[in-house]
Amino acid sequence: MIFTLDEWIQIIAGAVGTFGFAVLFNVRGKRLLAGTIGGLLAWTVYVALGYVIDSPILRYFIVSVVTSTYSEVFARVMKTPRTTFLLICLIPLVPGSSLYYTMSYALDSSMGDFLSKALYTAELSAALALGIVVVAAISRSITAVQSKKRKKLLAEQAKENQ
Amino acid sequence: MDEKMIQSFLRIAEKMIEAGAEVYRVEECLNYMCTAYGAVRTDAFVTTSNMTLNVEKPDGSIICASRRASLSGYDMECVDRFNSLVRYITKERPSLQVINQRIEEALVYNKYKVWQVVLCSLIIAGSFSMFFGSRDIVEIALSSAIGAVMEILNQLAKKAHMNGMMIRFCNSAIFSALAFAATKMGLVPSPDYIIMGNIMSLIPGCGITSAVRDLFTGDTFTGIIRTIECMLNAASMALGYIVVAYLFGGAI
Repeated sequence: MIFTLDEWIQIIAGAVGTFGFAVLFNVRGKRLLAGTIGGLLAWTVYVALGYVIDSPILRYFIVSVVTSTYSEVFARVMKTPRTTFLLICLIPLVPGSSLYYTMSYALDSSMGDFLSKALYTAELSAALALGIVVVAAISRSITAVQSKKRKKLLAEQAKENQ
Repeated sequence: MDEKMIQSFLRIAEKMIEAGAEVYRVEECLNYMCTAYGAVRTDAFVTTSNMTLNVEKPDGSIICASRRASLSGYDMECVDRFNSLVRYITKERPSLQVINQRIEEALVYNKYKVWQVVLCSLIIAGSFSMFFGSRDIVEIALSSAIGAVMEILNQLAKKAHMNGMMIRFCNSAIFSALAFAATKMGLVPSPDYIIMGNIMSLIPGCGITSAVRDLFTGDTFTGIIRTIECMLNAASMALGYIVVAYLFGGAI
């Protein structure tokens, strides 16, 4: 798919910002690269979906699911806690501009504008959260089985040792 | 397994919480370690501010311990190192002496230098101004410069052990004031993009992500604590902006 120049600038800027945050969270080496690519992926998917789906809220949800899945997979591959990728890859989705407009409408605009913008920000965050929760719930039910097995194994080994 | 070993396990858990690990992961780690050393039953309850651990030994005696912890900032390298240490401990079951030695070793690792962090804050502010729609070189440059200045002030404030909410309030007030001043001087058409770029590092986005995940995956207690923290942080940031915008005669 060919994006416009403006969209490319946005995607690259989002990825660079993601890289910056990854450094602030002391992410290093291969993980830094994987996290930055995750941020790039997140906004690319968001922009690409814009050609198909109009509602930004639905797009936020889908991107959140895709990005969370990416984080889970890469956490497994790189044997690192999944928070590392989850926190970083979702950075471009943090609704900074709509939060800013909410604050600025709170001061100098009509109540209606303020409320609708506040609601919009809340809806974006909720969509983002829902995506994370769906993936987290699925992955945790998978890991719960594994962790039970691991604990049983450890208990058996401990008994043998005594 | 004795009290001293439990203390070492809690030290590991404490470090993980401080660096921003998920609570359920820390609970699991405690469970694994105690089980590996022969505990019949392990009850670990971990929140971001306190953790308790009850361990029943094969002979029926019980060890109880608790520890105060607090989140000191996200440090993924630290989480990862201690996570690996837990893997090693459960696999090899080393002696207490070795565990303590490994903990000390795990605490020595590379952190980004201050100038690298400042440079990244500069990049963050600039790139997010661009991300949100600014295409003006002067605007992006100003936003980056303000981002770098804010990070330097942040580092100083942290050294002075300033209260976190106060830091956010001042931070937001200072960059808003600079953005409004630049607009008044006619350098940029509006303060919007500069503020948007700089606001990104203040929005508790990561906090909200963690809070939601905790709330909906069973760690309700931690989820609530994190949610309230995020709301207070967001409010102190908004207040900083609103005070300044009001002084400058309303958002332009």
